[in-house]
Amino acid sequence: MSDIAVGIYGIIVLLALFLTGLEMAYCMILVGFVGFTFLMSFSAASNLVVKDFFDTFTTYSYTVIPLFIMMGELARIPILPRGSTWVRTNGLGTSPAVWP
Amino acid sequence: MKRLMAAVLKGDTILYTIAGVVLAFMIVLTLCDVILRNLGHPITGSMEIIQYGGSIVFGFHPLCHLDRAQIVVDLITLKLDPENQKKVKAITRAAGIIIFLFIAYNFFMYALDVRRTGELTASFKILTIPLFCHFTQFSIPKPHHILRLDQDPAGTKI
Repeated sequence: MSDIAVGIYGIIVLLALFLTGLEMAYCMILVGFVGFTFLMSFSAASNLVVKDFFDTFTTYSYTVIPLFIMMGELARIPILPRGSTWVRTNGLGTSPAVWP
Repeated sequence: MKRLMAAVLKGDTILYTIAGVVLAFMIVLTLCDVILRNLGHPITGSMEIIQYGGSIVFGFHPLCHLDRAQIVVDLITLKLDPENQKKVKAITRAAGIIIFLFIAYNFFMYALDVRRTGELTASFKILTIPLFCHFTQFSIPKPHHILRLDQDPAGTKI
């Protein structure tokens, strides 16, 4: 079976697994692991699970997550909503066409 | 059972608080790093600290398991009768436990390798073995994987 066929079957199985009520992340781990075992070998897939887990959870790209949380906190406290209300009423007008 | 549940909830809340504190620290560190970087004095090893912090935040998430906060497609399972729902939940829980047991075992084997080679981080030259031990412990299925088997995410009996 070609790599592309394995990928397509993997997606079908993944969609079927989603409907069983298993957590999405677990489904993806499972299908990825089985697919890689099928294409390479069991030990390679076992190593890949660990490496992927480690790389995913320790990636520097997640720096943005704390910043998003901070932005959310700033939006929660009344400074930003008050500012946006001020802009809405004084800066950009109160036309219902612009601000429904 | 109630006492066990209360103990698990307490332990999970402590871990949740630690994760929150680490997350707050990461926010402050990133902010300081961005500002200081613009002033020409970046914080050395901030990337490593963020990586360590990220692993702690992601690892201390048992409350998420307990509250069943993961994304689940329950379009079909909700249409089943309560008895069958319970069976499906038991099977999916068991599958989740097996997956995580397998991951924990592989993390343990990898941690042994890392200990043997003495792998260090790039900037601070800290041993990476604590990270792998942490990942091993968080992959091991805990009571909250099994508890609330017969309950919906809100905690009410189905």
